[in-house]
Amino acid sequence: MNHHEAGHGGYIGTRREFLSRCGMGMGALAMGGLPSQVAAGTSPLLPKQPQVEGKAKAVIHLFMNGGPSQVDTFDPKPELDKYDGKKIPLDLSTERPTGAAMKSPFAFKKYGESGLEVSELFPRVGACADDLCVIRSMHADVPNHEPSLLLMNCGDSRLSRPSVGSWVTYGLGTENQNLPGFVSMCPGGYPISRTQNWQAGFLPAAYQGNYVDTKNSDPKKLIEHIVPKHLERNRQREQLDFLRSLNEQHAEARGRDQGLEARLESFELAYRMQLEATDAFDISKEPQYIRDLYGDTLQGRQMLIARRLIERGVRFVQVWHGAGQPWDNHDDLEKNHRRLAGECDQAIAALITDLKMRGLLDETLVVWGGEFGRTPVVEMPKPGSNAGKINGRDHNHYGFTTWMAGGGVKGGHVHGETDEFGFAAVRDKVHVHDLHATMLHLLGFDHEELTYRYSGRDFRLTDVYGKVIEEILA
Amino acid sequence: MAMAFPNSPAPVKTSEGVHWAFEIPQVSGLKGDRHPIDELLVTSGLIPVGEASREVLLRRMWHVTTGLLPTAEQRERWLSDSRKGEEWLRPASEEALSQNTFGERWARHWLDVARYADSKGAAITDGEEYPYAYTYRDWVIGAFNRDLPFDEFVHRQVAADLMEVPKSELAALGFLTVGRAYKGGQRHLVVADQIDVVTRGFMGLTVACARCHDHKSDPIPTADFYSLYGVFDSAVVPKKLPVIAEPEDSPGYRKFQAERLALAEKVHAHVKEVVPEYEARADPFDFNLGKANGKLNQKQREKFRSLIGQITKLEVASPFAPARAMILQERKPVDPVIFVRGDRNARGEKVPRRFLKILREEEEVFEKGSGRLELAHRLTDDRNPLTARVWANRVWMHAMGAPLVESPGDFGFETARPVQLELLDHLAVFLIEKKWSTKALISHIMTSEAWRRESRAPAELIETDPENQFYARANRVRKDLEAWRDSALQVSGRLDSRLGGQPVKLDEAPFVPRRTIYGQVRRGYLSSVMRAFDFPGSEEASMKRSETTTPMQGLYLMNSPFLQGEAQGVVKGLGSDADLSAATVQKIYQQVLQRPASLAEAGAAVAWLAKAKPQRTAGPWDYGYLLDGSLDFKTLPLFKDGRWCGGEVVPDAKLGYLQWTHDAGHPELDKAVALAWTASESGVLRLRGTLEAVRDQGNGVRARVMRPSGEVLGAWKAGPTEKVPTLLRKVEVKAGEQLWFVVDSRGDQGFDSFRWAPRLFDEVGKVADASEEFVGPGLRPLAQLAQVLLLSNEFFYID
Repeated sequence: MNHHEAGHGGYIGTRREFLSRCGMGMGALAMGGLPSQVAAGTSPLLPKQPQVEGKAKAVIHLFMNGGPSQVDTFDPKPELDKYDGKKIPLDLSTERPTGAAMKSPFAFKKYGESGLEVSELFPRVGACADDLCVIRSMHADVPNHEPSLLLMNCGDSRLSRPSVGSWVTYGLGTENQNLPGFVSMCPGGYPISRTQNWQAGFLPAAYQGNYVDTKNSDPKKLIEHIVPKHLERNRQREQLDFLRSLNEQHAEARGRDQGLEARLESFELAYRMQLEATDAFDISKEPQYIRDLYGDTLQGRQMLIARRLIERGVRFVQVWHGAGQPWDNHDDLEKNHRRLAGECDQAIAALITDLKMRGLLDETLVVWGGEFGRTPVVEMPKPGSNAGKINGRDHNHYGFTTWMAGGGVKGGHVHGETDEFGFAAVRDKVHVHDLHATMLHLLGFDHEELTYRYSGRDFRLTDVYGKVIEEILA
Repeated sequence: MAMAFPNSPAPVKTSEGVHWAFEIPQVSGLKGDRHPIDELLVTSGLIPVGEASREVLLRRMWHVTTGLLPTAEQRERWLSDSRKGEEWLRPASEEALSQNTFGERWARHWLDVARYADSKGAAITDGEEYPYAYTYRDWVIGAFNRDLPFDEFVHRQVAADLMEVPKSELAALGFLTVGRAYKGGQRHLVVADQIDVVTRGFMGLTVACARCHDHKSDPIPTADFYSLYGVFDSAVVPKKLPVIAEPEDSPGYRKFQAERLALAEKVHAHVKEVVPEYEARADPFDFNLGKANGKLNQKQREKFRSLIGQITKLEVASPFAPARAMILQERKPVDPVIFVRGDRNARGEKVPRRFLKILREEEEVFEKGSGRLELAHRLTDDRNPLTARVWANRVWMHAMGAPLVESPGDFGFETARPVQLELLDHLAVFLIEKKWSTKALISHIMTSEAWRRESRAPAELIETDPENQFYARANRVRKDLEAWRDSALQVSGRLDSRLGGQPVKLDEAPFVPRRTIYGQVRRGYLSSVMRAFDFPGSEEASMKRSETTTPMQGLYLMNSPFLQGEAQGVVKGLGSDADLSAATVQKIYQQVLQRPASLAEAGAAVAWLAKAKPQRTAGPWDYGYLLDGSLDFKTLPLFKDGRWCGGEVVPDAKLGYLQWTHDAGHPELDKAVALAWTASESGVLRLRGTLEAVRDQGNGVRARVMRPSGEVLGAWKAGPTEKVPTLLRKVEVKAGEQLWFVVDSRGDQGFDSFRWAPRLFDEVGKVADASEEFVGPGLRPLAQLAQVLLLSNEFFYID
C-alpha cells in the first residue's frame, strides 16, 4: 500500500532485522521490554535527524493566554509616568475604546550582570535575567484573541493549519516512544480556540498535541485509558503475551508484513506507556527540595511535570496558564496581573533554574509570552465588554514582549524596541512568523524547507513569510 | 532547493504537452478475451500470485461493500455455492451491494470528502451545533443504497434547490452547508471552503490555491476563484430550514413543539423588555429584529443569541424535532471582483460568474441566476474529463486498498501521469457508460482477477514492487475506525442495524451499539476514539485517511470499557469460566474470527485460560462482609453506580445497606463490612488513614485490621462525626496473604455511614491505597480471551 499522501514516518527496517542486528532473538523480546527506538515499522513518531544539528532538542512554551501587558512586565516605559492620565501623541486603533495613558503600577528593577529590567511582578524570573532573551518588538496582525492565538500557535490567523508543536514533532519525531511527543497542559479546561491551538491540521493525527488537564493532581487521571480497570497488571501482561503469540503466528503465515509488525509492537508500547506515563506525571517521585523549589501550587506542579516530560524525551510541551483567557485584564489590571504573576513567578523561575542545574537548559528552548500584549493606554468603559472600572488595558498586537531562554539564544539580552510608550514595535520588529522561523532554526531546520505536501502545495509553518532573528542567536 | 523532508512526497514537474488529467478519457479497442481490467492492467512483466480462498474473498467482499463481516448464514450459503470464478463472484457481489449496510459504508467514504460534522467548530452563541447535519448524512447513505447515478449525486449536492426534485432531496445541499462556521461575519472563508470542497472533492483541482494569486503550478488564474466566488456568494443559508419529513403526531412531538414555542417566546420577551416598541412578527420563529436591531447593547445581544441557542439545544436533544434540510437559498446574484492578494478590502477587477478557464469555451459565462445549477452540470458534462476519473480513482481505492492516482484530491500538473492511466480511463468510461452507476463500477472491479488475488506474495515480488503499483498481489488492508468498531459490535451480537437518525455519542458508557457513522462528529472536539484512529478532523475536505500506528490506539483497545463490553458480549451465554473446554474456545474463535481454532490454537487457549485465576475484582482489593462472630469473608455480589452493594436496590432484602465505595461504606447490625487486600510481595508495612463516622446521631462505628486467622492487629472507634487516625506500624505480610479491614456498627443499628480509605506504605513508598485502587469487577477469563481475539491482527486486517 502506498502511504505517501498520509506522510508516514521513516521506516527503519523490520523489527526482526533490528533484532538480528542486535543479536537478540524473539525470546528475549517476549521476556522484557525492548529499547524504545526500535518501536518499529510505520510509527510516525520515531526520532528523526533535523537538517543540521540544532542547539535545541525540545521546546517548552509557557503560554500566558489572554495577553500579558508588556509595559507592566518586561518593557519598562518611564515616559508613561509623565503622560499618566494624559492623551498620548499616538493614534492607533484598538479593539475597544481606549483613553489616556496609564502608567504602570509596578516598579522595575535591574537584575543580574546584564542589568535586564524586570518589573516587581516577576522578581524570581528577574533573578534568572542573565538567561533571558527578551524580544520587546513582537507584533501580530489583529487585536482579537482567536486569530492571534491561531497565529501564535499555527502560523495563520484565519485558516486551519498545523500547530508549531505538530510541525516540530513531524520534523523531529520524539525521543521517547513510551510517551506522547507533544503535550499541551492547561489546568481546568481549554484556552479559547480550544484544541485548534495544538491541532495537527493536515499533518497525520499522530502529531497533534495531547491535552492534559493539570488541575487533576492524580497522575493516573492525566492520560485517557492509561490505567487498566478491568484486569490486574500481571494478568494484562499475560494477556498481551498471548496476543503476541497469536499475532506472531498470523504474521509468520503471511510472510511478514511491516504493518502487521508495527501493530504488534504498538501494544508493547502502550503497555510500557501505562507505566512510564503515569510515572512521568507523578511529581510525588521528586525529592522534597525540588518540589519546594517549584512550590506546592498548580503552576508549580505543571512546570515540574513539564521538566519531567522534557527530561524523558518529550519533544514539545505547552504549558497554558489556565482555561479561557486569564491574562485578559480589561479591568483591575493591577490586582489581576499581580495575582497571575504571583501564581507563576516562582514556578517559571524554578523551571529555568532546574533545567540549568540538570544541564538541560542548553538544549531546551523555553518560550514565554501571550498571543499579544496590552495597550499602554487605559481601556474606556463599554457595556458588555468590561466592568467599566477604567483601570485595565485593551488588547495590543502592535507591540508586545516574548522572551526565550536556553536552546541556543543569548542570555541577558534585549532585542528590539517599542515606541516611547510601549504601544507599537518600532525597532528590529519581530513578527510572529519571524519568531517561528527562529524557533525552527534553533531546532535545526530551515523554516522554508520543513514542508509538507498537501492539496497540491508544499505547505510550511511560516507560509511565505518569516525571517530568522540572527541577532539573538548565541 | 527544497529537500523532500521528511517523507513528504516530492513534487513531480509538469511534462510536455497536454496534462494527462485534462484529456478526455478514451479507451482504444479491447481484445475482449479477458476481463477488461485484467487486459488493461500494466503488469510490467510480473507474474501475479494466485486467487485467494473463498473465505478470504467473501470476507474481503463484505469488507469492501459493507465494512462488516458476512453473517453466519451468508457464509454458509456462499461458501457452499459450487459456482466458479465470475459466475460465483457476480451474484455474491450483487447480494453484498444490495444490503443497506453498503450505503452506510460508502457514505462514510464520501463524508470524509464532504468534511462532515455535526457542529460548526466555532464558539457561536446562537448554537454551536448543526442539529440537522444528520439529514445530509442520511441522504448520502440513501443515495448510495439506491445507487443514485453519480452525476445526479453531484448535481443535487451543488444545486438541489434549483432542480425539480422531491423535497427530501434538499438534504443533499448539506454538502455545501456543513462546513466550518466562523465567528463574526467572515463569509469569505465560508465561500472559500465551498469552492474548495466542490473543486477538490469532485474534480481533484486545488482551485482554493488561487485565492490570493494565480495557481503556482496549475493553469488556474485567480479570476477563476472569484468567478466561482460569485456563484457561491449568491446563496445563503436561510434562518429557517425546511422540514423534509412530516412528523407523526404524538404526545412527545406535541411536548417538543410546546417547549420550542415557549423558548421562542422567551427570545421575544427579552427583546421587548429592552426595546418596548418591539413587535414580534406573526411567525414566532422569525427572529428578525427589524428596527430593534440597533438598540441592543453587546450584553443584551449576547443574551438574545444565547436564548436562540436554547432552541438549537432543544432541537439537538429532542428525538421529536422534525428532520430539516440544511439548504441554501439564492439571493440577488453577486457580481464578483477579484480580492487582490486575497484581501477583501482590496477590490480589484470585476469577473463574470463562469466555469474554470481550462474547462470552458473562452467566452462562456453562466447565464441563469447565480449560475450554480449550470456549474453543477458543468462538473459532469462530457467536456469535463476530471469528475468521472476522480470518482473512478476513489472507487478503485476503496475496493483495492490503494488509489491509481496517489493524490485523490489533486489531479493537477504536479501529479504525474499514473502508471495505470489506461485502466483508470477505462474505469471512468465504464462509469459513464453504465449511467454513472457506482454499484456497477464496484461490481466490475470485484469480478476482475486483479481483485481476486492473494495478499500473500513471494518476497521477490514484494521487493520488485514494494508499492504494489502493478497489482500482482492484493493489498492487505487494516480496518479503519468504522470497520473495526462496527465489526466488533457485530461479533458481540450487539450491533443495532437501524438506518439513519440523530447522532449518538461514541465515547460515553453505556456504549450505544450503533454503527460508527452515526457517532457525533464535533468539529475540534473529536472523541478520543476518533482522535486515536485517524478519523479526519473535518476542518476541510479529506481526500485520503492517514493510517498511523500509535500506542494511543493500543491503550484504547486494551483499557477502554468499550471493547471490554464487546468481549463480554461475545462470551455471553457460553457458560461459566469454571468448566473450560476446547468446545467453548471453538465457539469464541468462530464468533470473533469466523473460523475454527486449530488444534494447537485451541490447546494454547485452554492452557492460557487455565492459568487465569477468575478475577472477581480487577485489583488487589475485594469488597465483602463478615457475619457477626464469623471469619468467613463473603463478597458483596453487585457492582453498580460506582459501589459494591447487596443488590439492584439498596437496601437489599438480605444484605441491607452493606456497601463499599472508593472511600466510604456502611455496615449492618449483624454484618460487618470488610475490605480484603491481597499482598503481591512480602514486606513490613505501615498503615495510614482516617476513620470518620459521618452522621451526627447513633453511636458511631468501630474499625479493625485483622488477619483471616482472626488475629486483630488494630482497632479504633469513631463516635458521631468523629475523625480518628488509623495508624499501625510494622505490619508483616507475606506475598499472597490477605489483610482485612473490617467495620462494624458497635452493636447499635442506624446512622452507621462511615468514611475510611486505608493506605499501606513500605520504606520506599505507598504500596496500596483503597481509594485510588478502587475497582469494579474484573473481566472474566473467557472475555479476556475474546478481547485478545478482538485485538488480534487477524481481526484487524483484511487479507
